[in-house]
Parts: sequence; structure tokens; C-alpha cells
Amino acid sequence: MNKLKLNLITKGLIKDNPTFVLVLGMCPTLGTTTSALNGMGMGLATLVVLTLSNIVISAVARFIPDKVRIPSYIVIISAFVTIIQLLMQAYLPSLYETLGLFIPLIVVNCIVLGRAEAFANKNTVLDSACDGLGIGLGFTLSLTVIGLVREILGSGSLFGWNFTGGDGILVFVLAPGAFIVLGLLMALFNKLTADRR
Amino acid sequence: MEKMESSLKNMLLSLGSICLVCAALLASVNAMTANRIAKVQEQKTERAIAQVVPAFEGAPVDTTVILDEAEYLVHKAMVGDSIVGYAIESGTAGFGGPISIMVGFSAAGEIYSTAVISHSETPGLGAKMTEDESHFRTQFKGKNPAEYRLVVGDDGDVDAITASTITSRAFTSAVKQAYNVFLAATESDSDAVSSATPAAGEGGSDE
Amino acid sequence: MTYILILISAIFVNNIVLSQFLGICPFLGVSKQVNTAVGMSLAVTFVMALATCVTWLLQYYVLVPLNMVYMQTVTFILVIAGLVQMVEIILKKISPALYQSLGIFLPLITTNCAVLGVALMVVQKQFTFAGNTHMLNLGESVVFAVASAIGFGLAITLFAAIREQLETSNVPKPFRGIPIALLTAGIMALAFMGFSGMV
Repeated sequence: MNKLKLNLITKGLIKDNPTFVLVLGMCPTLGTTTSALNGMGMGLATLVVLTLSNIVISAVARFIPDKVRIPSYIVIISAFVTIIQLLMQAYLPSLYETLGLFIPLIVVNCIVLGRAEAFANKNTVLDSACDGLGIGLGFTLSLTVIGLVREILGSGSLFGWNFTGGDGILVFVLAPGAFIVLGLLMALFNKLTADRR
Repeated sequence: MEKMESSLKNMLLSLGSICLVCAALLASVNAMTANRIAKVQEQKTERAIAQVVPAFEGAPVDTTVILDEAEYLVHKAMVGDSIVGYAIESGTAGFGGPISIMVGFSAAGEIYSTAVISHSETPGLGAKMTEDESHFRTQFKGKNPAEYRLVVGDDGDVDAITASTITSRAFTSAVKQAYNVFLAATESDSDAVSSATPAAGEGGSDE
Repeated sequence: MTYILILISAIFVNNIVLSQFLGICPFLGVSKQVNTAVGMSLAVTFVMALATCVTWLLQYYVLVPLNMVYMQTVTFILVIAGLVQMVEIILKKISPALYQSLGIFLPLITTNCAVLGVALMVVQKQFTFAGNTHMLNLGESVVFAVASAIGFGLAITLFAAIREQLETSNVPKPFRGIPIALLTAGIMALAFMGFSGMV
């Protein structure tokens, strides 16, 4: 029983990784990973929204008629997103400014609505919480890794610590670098997991 | 328990109640955070002011100056009854979007320091203007725009950030704009406040 | 003049897909063939212009006067979801032919973050055109939305044309599918960077 829950939490890291395997939520993945910390911040914000919305949706799913299912989920998700947005604005203003538009856009992140549809509305509250946590952790991990690579290559620093003393290869913090780093990392991930199977 | 039937009444009831609960929740979170968010904004301005003028006492005195049909906020830093510095908010269009800066002048009209409030310049290029210790930003310090030519390149005295000429020009023209506001502000002050230094008035005649 | 600047800026300089990272899901998902890419961009243009118009009015005539700007995200996404449904129903009734070609893309648009993104952008961000910085008015907002959608269409159509060519080439196994598509998009983004600083 407990092993099952643990499975739910760890499956998002590799097996069902939302970024590298399911290829969901690409917009924030590309748009916010200019540094490891920014990527991590975005990942954690998504994790919180995902877990909370999974919990609430699994709790109320049976009271919602099928035909208004999607709009109801969207309202619940966007309410949580706005709460996170207000809290970040008040307590983490600099991170809020960097992530900008991508915070309200968590609403349309396919991962969140996708988990509500595919998991939360037919499972128990506890399982849904674990699922949200697991997928959220996987998302956070991938965003942090992408941010890490882009930060090292693009600005020659690591979590804000400039260890090279130089500027790095600028293109990696700009838009093209996001696409190229994600493409290369995904190919690497494919290569590694193909060998394991 | 049975799943709810998709009748019109049920649909309206469930969607309506979800909306109501969410709206109530958001209203309360908003009420809880509104003060703090306003304070964060205020602190940001205060920090920028403190960065660009000499040490002062109490809260800065805010006035608005209208120049060329645009409104500018001028924060006067005071020690006792005399003005030790002017912090002026100014802005222009940069490379990636609007740039908003705070420029501090001493009472004599010299640029004391500058601070970037918000911008959307390219990281690693134009965004270098946010680095406080960079040559680009320090070169303005202590200069009096009355004799220091606020133009980038051969016709002026300002060195641009490498590969970011547009950003450098935008920043410089915002500083210049702030100086014009400073002149307008001190002009009206010298009528009202007798302690205004004469140097500021002289600086104006050069423009 | 401002309108032309908005058009150039939103289509080329700040391309919504290649430099703002909005609408990446359909950009990767619906770009295997040029035909479907064009259909998708038409549907997006229509919905984006309509949605931006409605949400702009909502923001300035309902949310701001009522002091309820914090309900922005909730109302905007509901409006977009509702609009998409409505467009689908109306299109089915009045023009079955158009519905046949655009209909399949419509449900996908609700979760296209470019639509919500543009609607939020025009009421949150200040824009600078021809040296003056201001919030966009209704006309400018709609032009901005249409221009953004054209930018989306341009990027996705070019991308689909390249991907059609890629189909026949021999790509190393780990790169097949999304990775090579992302690398292609990266090179396109590099090309679009050449436009930066133009406006």
C-alpha cells in the first residue's frame, strides 16, 4: 500500500516525466529556465497548484455533472493560480517579476488540467495528492536541470554563483538557446532510457 | 455515491457554487495580501531613492513636475530644512521595451547616482545596465550635465555598453530627461525655497 | 503609424512563439503538415482577436471599476473557454464547410496559452511604440492580437514546411520526433533574432 503511494510520487521523475516523456507544459519549460533558480521557482509554483487542484478536484469530482466538468476544473485551477500569484507578489516579488506572465499561464499548462482529467477525478484524495506531488516534482526537476545547463553555458554561473568569472555563451540564455538545450537534453534522455530498457 | 446527473439545474448549481466559493476565497486572499503588495511596491521606490541621493532624514517630499505635457515624480531628500538631493523618475523606450530609471541629483545639479527600476532588455547585453558597479553606470556619477554632454558616442561624453548601443542611448536620454525635469523642479523651488543653491540656477542657463 | 509598428513588432521582432514562448504546444503538436498548420493559425487568429476584444472590455469596464482585478485570470480563462464553445456552435450552424476545416482545432485552442497570454499581456504590460510608452487601447489591443496570431501562423507554417522535409531525412534515433523539432525551432529562433531592435 505504502509502496504504491511511493510509486505515485517517484514515477514523475523518470518514467512519466512530464517534460521529457509526456512533453507537456512546454511554454514555461522554455520560457522560464534562464537560470536554475528561475526554473526551480516555476517548477515549485506549478507543483503547489497541481497538488492543491488535484486534492480539491478529487474531493469534489463526484458532485460535478459531467457536462460542466472542464469549466469547473478550470475555475478551481485558476483560483489556486491566482492565490499563488498574489502570495508570490507579496512575499517573493523579485521571483514574481522574473517569471512574469508565466505565473497566470499555469492555468493553461496542459499538465495541470491533464492530471485533473486523467487521474484526480477518478482516484481518492490521498492518491491524487501523491500524484500531483510526483508529477510536480518531476516537472520541477526537469526545469531545474534545463535551467542549470542554460545558466552554466549562457552566463557561466551556477545558482547565481559566477564560477568562471566570464559571461558565458550568451545565446543559451536567449530564446534560441532554450529550444536547442531542451532538444539536446531530450535526445540524451531518450538515449539513456532506451539503453535501460 | 452516484455521480451527479447532468441536468440543467445540477449543472448551474455546481458551476455556480464553485464560482462563488472561488470568488470568496480569492477576495479574502486579496484582502490579506493587498497591503503587503502595496508595501513591496513602496519599498522598491524607497530603495531606489535611497540609492541615488546622499543620506537624508525622514521621508522624501514628493512633488510632480509637468514637462512637455508629461508628468514626472520628483522626490526631494531633505536634511533638516535644506534639500540635499533630488531623486527623479524617468524613462524611455529601450531595446526590448520600456526602461524606467531613477536619477539622483545633488542640490548643485551634479548626478549623484542612478538606479534601474524596471526594464526588459536582453539578459547579458542591455541588461548589463542594471549592474551597479559597471563602468557604464559609474561614468555618470559626479558629472554635471551642464558641461557633461549626455550623448552616447563621438558627439558626447558617454561610453556605450559593448554591443548594446540602443540600450545605452535610451538610458542616457532618460538621464537627460531627468536633468530637464530637475531644472524645471529647481526653477520653481528657487522661487519658493530660499535655501536652494544658486549653482542649480546657473546650470539651467546652459540648456 | 503605431498600428504598423505594432504589426511588425508582434509578427517579427517579438514573435509570440519563437521569442515569447507562448503557444508551444500546438506549435510542436500541429505542425507535421502545412495544411493543418494553416488551418490552426486561422482558427487561432479568429479566437485571439475575439477573445482579446472581449477581455479588454471586461478588464476596463467591469473588473477595474468593481476593484476586482484579482479575478482577472479566472474570468479571462472562462471567457475564452466560453467563446471557443460559442464559435464552435455558431460555425457548425452557419458554415459547415468552414467548421469542417477549422472545427477540429477549436477545442485545442482553450488550452493554447498564446490566447490567454495575449489577453493578459495587453492589459498588464506597457508597450512602447514610436517613443511613447502607454497601455494599449482597444483598437491597438485587437491589432496586437491579430498581429500576434499572424506571427504564430508564420512560425508554425514555416516550421511545418521544414518538418515535412525532415520526414524523409535520416535522423539519428534519439533525436527522432520532438528533439529534432526543438533543434529546428532553435535555429528558426536564431534567424528571427535578426529582426530584434528593428522597432
